[in-house]
Amino acid sequence: MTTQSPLYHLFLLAILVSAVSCTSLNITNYYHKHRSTLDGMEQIYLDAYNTKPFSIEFTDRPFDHVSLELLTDTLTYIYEFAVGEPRLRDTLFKYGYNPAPINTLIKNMRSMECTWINHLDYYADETRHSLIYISLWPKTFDLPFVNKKYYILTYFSQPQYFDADGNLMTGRRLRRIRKINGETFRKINNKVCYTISAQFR
Amino acid sequence: MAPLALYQGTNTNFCGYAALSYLPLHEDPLGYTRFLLTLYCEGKATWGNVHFDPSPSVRRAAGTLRFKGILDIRPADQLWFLVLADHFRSYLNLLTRHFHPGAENTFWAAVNYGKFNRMIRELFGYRVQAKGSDLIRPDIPDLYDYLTQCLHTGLTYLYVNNTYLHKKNHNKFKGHFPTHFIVLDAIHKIPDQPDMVDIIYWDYGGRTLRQVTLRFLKKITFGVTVCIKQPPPVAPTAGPAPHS
Repeated sequence: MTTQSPLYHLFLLAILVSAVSCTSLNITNYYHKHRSTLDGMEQIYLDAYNTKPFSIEFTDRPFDHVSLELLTDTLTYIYEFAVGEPRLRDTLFKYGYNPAPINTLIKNMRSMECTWINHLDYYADETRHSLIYISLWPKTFDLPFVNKKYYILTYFSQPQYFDADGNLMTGRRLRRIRKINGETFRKINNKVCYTISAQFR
Repeated sequence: MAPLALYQGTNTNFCGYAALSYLPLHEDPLGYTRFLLTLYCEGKATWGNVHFDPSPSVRRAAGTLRFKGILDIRPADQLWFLVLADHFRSYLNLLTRHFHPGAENTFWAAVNYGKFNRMIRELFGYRVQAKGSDLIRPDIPDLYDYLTQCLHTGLTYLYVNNTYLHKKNHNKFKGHFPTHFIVLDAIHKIPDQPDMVDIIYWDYGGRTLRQVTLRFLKKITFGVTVCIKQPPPVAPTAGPAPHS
């Protein structure tokens, strides 16, 4: 048996790392595969947010720690909890939140590897509109020494305008690519768009 | 307008200008409004001893910034931020000297610690007591006591590393330098948890209460600025008329 040089092994490792780091998921397929869960999450969040506004962030890769932003008229409260910690339920009660939808969301976000769900305002023709912003952090994007990447899904409340390449536009008449949170988005369907971003929010 | 709602815009580098605006919006809202109206109507204006004569590119851009959240529909705030960024320059702005579309997201608009303190001194005439720098954290043995004292002395700003405070990714390697200014409103120790504190701060157009460890707070704090209002100059008192 011939012994390979360390350089050869290093070369193989470099090829392996670059191959893995180029791996990507097809977000459209991913969305359609998990559509019922993702759309369900959006609906639960929207209903709960309209009752009392909040956002949820998972702060670690094992999805064991969750940070809640509870929005009131005067102050935003940010608290971090371990998932399942009784303190979480107590806090929600203290600030008048219904724990049931939030617990369901936390469970679904964990199963979908969703790191952030939020309600975002954007402006078109001087008018305020809103969307739901969901950031997914699938394992494919979690490689050592490689900067993290996130799939971002945006749920609009009404159908949007797109160019021939599927880029989200500002409107039917004003043909300009719309940016949300500094990113350009592409079409999944008339109301749902996606992008891949280095930031989850 | 509610002063607390002043918003720097999504993904801009206007946080330093938004933070310092907290002062005039609370202390002199009428002066702020007059200044902006003069600037809008005449194209130039003076605040304190500082005369603003914005460059043509900034005049064209004010009111046209888009995709910045609520800043999109606040042309007066756009004008204010752009004019401040255009006028006050520092070493961070050396490579991007002139405004171009999109420059609000770049080093053109960046604010370092020295520039931030200078702007407050020159614009509003406050005495600024600053501890910290752009790269090295200040040596404050008891940060809790120090910040409590600062809050009693005057309006307190913290110059912090925002990649930890307002995390946007889960990367292991983060820059170890400050990137953000916040107004510290209150700090309280949490009973039975000696290392934990509640901090209340203002940024991004709203107040936030957050529980952090003192270790974390020390790690992210690169500067503490206290703004102390100067008493108005005493007018010479009229003495008795000299006898002729």
